[in-house]
Amino acid sequence: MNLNLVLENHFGNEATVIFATEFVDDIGVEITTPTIFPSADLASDGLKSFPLITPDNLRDGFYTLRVSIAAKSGDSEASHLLEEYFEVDDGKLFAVDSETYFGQSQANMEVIR
Amino acid sequence: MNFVKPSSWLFFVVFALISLSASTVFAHSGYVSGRLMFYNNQGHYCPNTRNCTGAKYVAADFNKYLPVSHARVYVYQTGTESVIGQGISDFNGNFKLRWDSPDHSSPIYIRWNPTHKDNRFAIRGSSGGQWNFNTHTFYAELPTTITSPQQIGTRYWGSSSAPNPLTNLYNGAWRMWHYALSSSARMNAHFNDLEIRAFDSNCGNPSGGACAIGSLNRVNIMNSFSAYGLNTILHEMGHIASYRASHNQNYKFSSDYNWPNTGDGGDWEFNKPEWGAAQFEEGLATFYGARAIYWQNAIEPYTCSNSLASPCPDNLFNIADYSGPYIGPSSCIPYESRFPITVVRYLRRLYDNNGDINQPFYEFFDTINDFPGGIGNGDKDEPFCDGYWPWDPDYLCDRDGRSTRDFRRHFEARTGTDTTTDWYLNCSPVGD
Repeated sequence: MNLNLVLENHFGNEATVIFATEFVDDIGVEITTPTIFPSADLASDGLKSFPLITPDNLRDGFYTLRVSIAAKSGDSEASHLLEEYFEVDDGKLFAVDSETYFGQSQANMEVIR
Repeated sequence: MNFVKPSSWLFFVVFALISLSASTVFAHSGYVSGRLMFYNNQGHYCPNTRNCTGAKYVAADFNKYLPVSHARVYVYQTGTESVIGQGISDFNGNFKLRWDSPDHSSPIYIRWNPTHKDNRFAIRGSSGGQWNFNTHTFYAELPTTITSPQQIGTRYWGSSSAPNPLTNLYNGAWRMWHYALSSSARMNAHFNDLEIRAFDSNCGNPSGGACAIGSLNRVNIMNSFSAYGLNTILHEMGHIASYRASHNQNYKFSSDYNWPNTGDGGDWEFNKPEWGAAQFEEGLATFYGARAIYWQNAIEPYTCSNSLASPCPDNLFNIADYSGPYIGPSSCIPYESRFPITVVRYLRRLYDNNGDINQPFYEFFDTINDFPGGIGNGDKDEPFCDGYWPWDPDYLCDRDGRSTRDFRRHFEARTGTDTTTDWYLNCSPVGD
């Protein structure tokens, strides 16, 4: 699935942003190696779109895409931790809401350590 | 006399059969004990680079398993999926539950709900539904007793690669109650049954992460990232605490942000000008929440609104500083008297015991209760116009009403203190 991460600059001045992505299943098994993307500049009050792609050939189940974002503009800093949830059913990938994810996946089940 | 004996004997037999029947229904009982833990990924802890004296949440607590404290815990039986025992976890996440069941052959499991043991708050779904956290199933052992229970050891939820935002949110709410609100008798009496919906986007504020709705006794957490930014839930529960302390004011504080505009939703920043009523309410909620992390003797208490799982940045914001945030106490920048951070810092100085006013935390709730009912100056509903009754004419509006200045007046009257120095050191927050 092709996704777009859209970042909007609210600092009022030009900002630099960097972000990293992780893709894990509902019990935390890493599906792809975490990726740190190159830093990018955001114009004042500007929007910028970054394409992201979910992995192919996923087994049926539930998955989380986690994006950690940090931005800096002069002395000001901001950060976000964004999670998006997915389900693969019969080989097809769907985005699902948090209610579905935490209600139907194994995310609320105890983990074995 | 002979006539009586058969009747007594018959009565005895019937009674014995009933007893036998009852003991057959609950043929098995026992005790099971264990410990519940979750993977903690909440930011805003006091980092090792700062003086963490007086801090209740420090770097050593981050990215590790912590106890699920004071939650409701149940024993469930598979097949019927019925509750056969219930209790609570203690401060350390330990539980010991008695169970009673007619069926010893079906496996059982432990379920905990993110509901506070005394029902101060509960984490709910987007429509108010219950979240359940289950163990894997196991077989009950017999015989077990209260002094020799079946021990299932420690059970874990979430991991470093998949922390669970709901369990983190529960812990954040628990911190707010345990380390802050519970020290106020007024909160013990009036702060109950708060519903924290996760995740619910119904805040009317698309760029924000959360909101509080006093009249519904509800907090909405919009996204998982807000669950990891500890200050978010602390702040929103601070709004509910304000509402409860204020004996449920009518003023609806969500429509007049971003001074000098009117009608804007609750998008605000610590260091941007706000109307006095919004400035005070946001500053007060933040001050209440900061106490869950930094107690009275804290040297470097911080707050911030960033939501990455990390400490507050060094420049945003040390609340033991004077305002302004960038230039210093002797040179307040334009409109700094409208910044919410000035309120947080002023209130913190009244509470701090590091040479400051040093008043007990509960006074800050009792002072809010001192605001009289009404819409006059210093009353709890002074900003009467704020969208609550839209047909009311504007001349009644006082968006700088229910201000920090009103708080100061009530606080000084209640405590007999003089906060003039603290007031001027923080750019004299606006209000009348």
